[in-house]
Amino acid sequence: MAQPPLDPLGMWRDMLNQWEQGLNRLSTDTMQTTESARLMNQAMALSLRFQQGMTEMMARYLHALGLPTRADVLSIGERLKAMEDQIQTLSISYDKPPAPPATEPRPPRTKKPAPDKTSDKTS
Amino acid sequence: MSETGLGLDPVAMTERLQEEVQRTIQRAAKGLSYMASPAPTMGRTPKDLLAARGPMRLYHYRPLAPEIYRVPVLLVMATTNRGYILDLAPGQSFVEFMLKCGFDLYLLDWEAPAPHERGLRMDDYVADFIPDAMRRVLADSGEPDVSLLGYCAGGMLSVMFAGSHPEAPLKNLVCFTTPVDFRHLSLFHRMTDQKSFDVDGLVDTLGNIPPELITLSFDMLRPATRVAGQVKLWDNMWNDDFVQSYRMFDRWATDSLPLAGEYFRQTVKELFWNNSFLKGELVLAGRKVDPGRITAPFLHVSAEHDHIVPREASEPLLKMVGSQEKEEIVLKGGHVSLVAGPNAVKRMWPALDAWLSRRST
Repeated sequence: MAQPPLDPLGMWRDMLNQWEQGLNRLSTDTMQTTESARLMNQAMALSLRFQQGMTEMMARYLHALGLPTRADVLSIGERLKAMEDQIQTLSISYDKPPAPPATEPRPPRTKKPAPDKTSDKTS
Repeated sequence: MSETGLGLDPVAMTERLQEEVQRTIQRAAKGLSYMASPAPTMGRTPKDLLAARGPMRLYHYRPLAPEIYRVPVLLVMATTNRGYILDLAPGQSFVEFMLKCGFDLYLLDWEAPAPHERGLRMDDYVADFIPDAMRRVLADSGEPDVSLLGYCAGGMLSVMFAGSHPEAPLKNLVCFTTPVDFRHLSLFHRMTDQKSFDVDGLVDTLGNIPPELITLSFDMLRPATRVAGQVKLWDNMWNDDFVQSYRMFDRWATDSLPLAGEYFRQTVKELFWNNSFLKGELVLAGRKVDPGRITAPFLHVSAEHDHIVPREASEPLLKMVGSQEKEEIVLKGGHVSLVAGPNAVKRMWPALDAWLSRRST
């Protein structure tokens, strides 16, 4: 049997695939341990506490300066979004601009499956 | 043909070298245009917005066939991802395929929940948004029943709905790769370990769970794939089809939606910690979720190599559902390639058409 020609780039691609699969497998195995999950969750808890502390501290400074906090800006954003939603709902209810033109009636609901689809042969 | 002592064929080597030089030139030229071009537009099949309320968006796709099946189909998308995975590009769109097959298609898609919607729970999705969308589909189509078709978490919500609303006018229920046994979503299960994962602290601090955290948790299932993907992109930069496909899938994979805080808290406590859905102990909006009460014909499609929802996590679903007429199809492919991409075009789409078409009259 003839040997396949030497293909350095093909070998490099194979190596890349093997590296990807190996690292994915290693990572999954590592992450499956209780210890790594505990460490990751500890890091997340620490980060959350830091984030909460920063938010509270910034809120105090901004309040002292008479400036809105992120929560204030988000609250305004929410109200604007609620107004947009209302306008969109009204637009759908009254104007119905996106509806297909009346000149284009919907097709009849009379389609039947082709004869070759009427038996149970899905897999 | 002469060969060197190393088994190298000089002619073949020269041709290979020439091909590689050509590709290198193309990589450089196309790489520049890749950097300069905007992200691909997806979800272009014409559709009309029927309803928008909170994160819920209900669309109706304009039919592409001269004659359609009687029963409308409502697609329910997963809550963490955008619905355009089902409508990537002409010729690669599940939606387009279904429309051309003659199905009357509606899509229940989701937008990011706003900060004030952090209190949304699974109850809201199962007992409010889905029934509301169904009512609107029935009103819009003028038909008395509808087929539900859910993808991933959208399938899970659809089964929860059908199992808690046995009176609903459900013609067929189809789920793609739908988890029910959360012990087998092993990495997520480990990451949300009850002993170390402070879900209350997370939700109370962040409100809604940011999309970056969702994307990161999916990436952690295959951490090397993103880096390897970039290298493969460069290697295949000369290949327009590869680049287009890569950009579409990459954009979708990184375009996660935030999850409403209470929905996430409930998911962790009810599904990951208690496995309530599998145990039959889940109660949503005062209704017990019992898939055994589902009577509509049921189809579950799962993927052999699904790394997000492994087979073991979705396998019990078929037994749980009470329908007399029920079936499972296991196809080659992964979580996403089951519904989109060349494998889906060849395998899942025709299989679904064959199953659903004869139950849609």
